[in-house]
Amino acid sequence: MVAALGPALTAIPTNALRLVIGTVLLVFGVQWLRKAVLRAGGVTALHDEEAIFQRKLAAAQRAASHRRGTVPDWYGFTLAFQGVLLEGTEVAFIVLTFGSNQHAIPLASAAAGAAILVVGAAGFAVRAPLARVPENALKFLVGVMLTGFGAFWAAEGAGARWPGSDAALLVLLPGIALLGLLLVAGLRRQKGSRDRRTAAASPAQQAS
Amino acid sequence: MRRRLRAPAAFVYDLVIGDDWRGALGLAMAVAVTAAISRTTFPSWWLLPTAILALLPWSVWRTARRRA
Repeated sequence: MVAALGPALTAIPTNALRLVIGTVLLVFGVQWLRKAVLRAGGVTALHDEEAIFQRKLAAAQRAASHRRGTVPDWYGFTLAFQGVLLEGTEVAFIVLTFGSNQHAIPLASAAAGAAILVVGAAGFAVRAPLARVPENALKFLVGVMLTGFGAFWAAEGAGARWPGSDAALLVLLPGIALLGLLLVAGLRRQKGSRDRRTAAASPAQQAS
Repeated sequence: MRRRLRAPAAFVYDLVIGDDWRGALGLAMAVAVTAAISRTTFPSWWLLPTAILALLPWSVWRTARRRA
């Protein structure tokens, strides 16, 4: 996808590309970061990855497999296609933006190809369920990266000039991470004092 | 045809904007204002970090208060 779309994208003005992709990444990243903060702060429940894995596995095993054209298992095909398309499109957008930014689409395509091999090998080496991966910490990190790079590219696409150019990312990314961590700390403190108030009120209610 | 288009559109909306359209609108407006300021001689790089600094805590606080 990167190799096919890359040359076509070079025809689009770089600033327009940065503006559109940067804004989408920014909105998407802030949403991810917000959800990760709410989970880490105890406002929404953490995903039980093991339970989700077992539920999805059972649903996939129950699904009747039927052939469509040359595809022997249509359910399996659509399930895999959906996941790969969604995640692959995200990666393709990021790689294309990096590539067009540096006017090096072939290099970005080669790097994307290398990433496929590395991620494929890593996935084969670590075949354990996702429960062993600290999902919310990963989502927090991805949210910080998407928000930071999104803000950087959206501002550049809108015509802004960052002080220190690319080095501004070295301040922007830790700054966003710090903001997220402070929000998590604030939510946990709030939840702790609410839980203490509830615990203190319960014996009083039982006594009356 | 319309039903076929509605499902992917709803999927993209949920993926990118999610359950907080106000925050997404605020960020889009901040990008637009950045573009407007960039046409003048004033620096405009500070606007998006400021928007994140304001909108993220606001959105988190609103959700936390709603679910408390």
